[in-house]
Amino acid sequence: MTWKDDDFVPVTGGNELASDQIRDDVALHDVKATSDLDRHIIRLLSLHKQVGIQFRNQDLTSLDDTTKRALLDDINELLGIQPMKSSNL
Amino acid sequence: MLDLPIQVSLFNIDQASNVRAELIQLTSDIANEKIDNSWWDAKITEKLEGKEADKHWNWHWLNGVYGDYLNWEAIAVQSASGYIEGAITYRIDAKSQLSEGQGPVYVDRLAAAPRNRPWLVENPVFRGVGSILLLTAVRHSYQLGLKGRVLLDSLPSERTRNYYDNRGFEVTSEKDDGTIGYELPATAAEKWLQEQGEFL
Repeated sequence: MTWKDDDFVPVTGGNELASDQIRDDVALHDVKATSDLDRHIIRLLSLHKQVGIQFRNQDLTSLDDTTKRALLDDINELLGIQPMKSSNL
Repeated sequence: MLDLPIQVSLFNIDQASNVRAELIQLTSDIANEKIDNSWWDAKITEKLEGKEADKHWNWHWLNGVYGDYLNWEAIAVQSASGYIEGAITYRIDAKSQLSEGQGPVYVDRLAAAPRNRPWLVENPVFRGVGSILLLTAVRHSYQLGLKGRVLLDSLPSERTRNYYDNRGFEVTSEKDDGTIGYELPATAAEKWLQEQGEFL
């Protein structure tokens, strides 16, 4: 990674986001996930309702990891999310 | 998918070389022990501390409140010594200010450790800590189908303006308290990710 001379981040944030700037169609604050994979899929389904509707019959607790990863591949393809390297930072 | 821990490189200024570090989940215990009770030691003078917006942030409290919510994320950079070199918290359910009907991640807090701030210490230890954390938020935004969009509020200093301008952020608002809203649009986010070689 090539760093620029100004590569020192200023202290950012500390302000509470106004309620009218928060999506009211995303309900995630009281949802539990038992794995990183579940967490990611639950977030995707909640953030993209059209995908959630398409896969509404998928109960993650009844799926094994291989099936969940296949489901994630399908969701990524549907949303146009390109695969990324596991770590390149 | 955010699959922590993630190996990253930090630039050690004294050694003039990259060293290994890790992106880790910022838990309440880590926040308490390694940020709230560690960052602001005697080496940073009281005079300088007072000018820092985050001097009184309570990362431990914040993570205690939001740490389990799936609409929040909290990440830290930990160097090989175990020191937390910087941290970020963000939420994933914000509304875009540039693209109506779309979502960005909203950076709730972002800071490098005081020892990595050249305006606080004569010889900062690492460079690029905040950029790694910010890029992680961009990357996560992309993986969540939010196109890499990132929204944040920051102080209206020249340093802030330069930092975010140089990374493709656009000003979205100027608030009554003086803070400025910035958003990284999808095109700039994907360009940044491409430049960093993040895609397969």
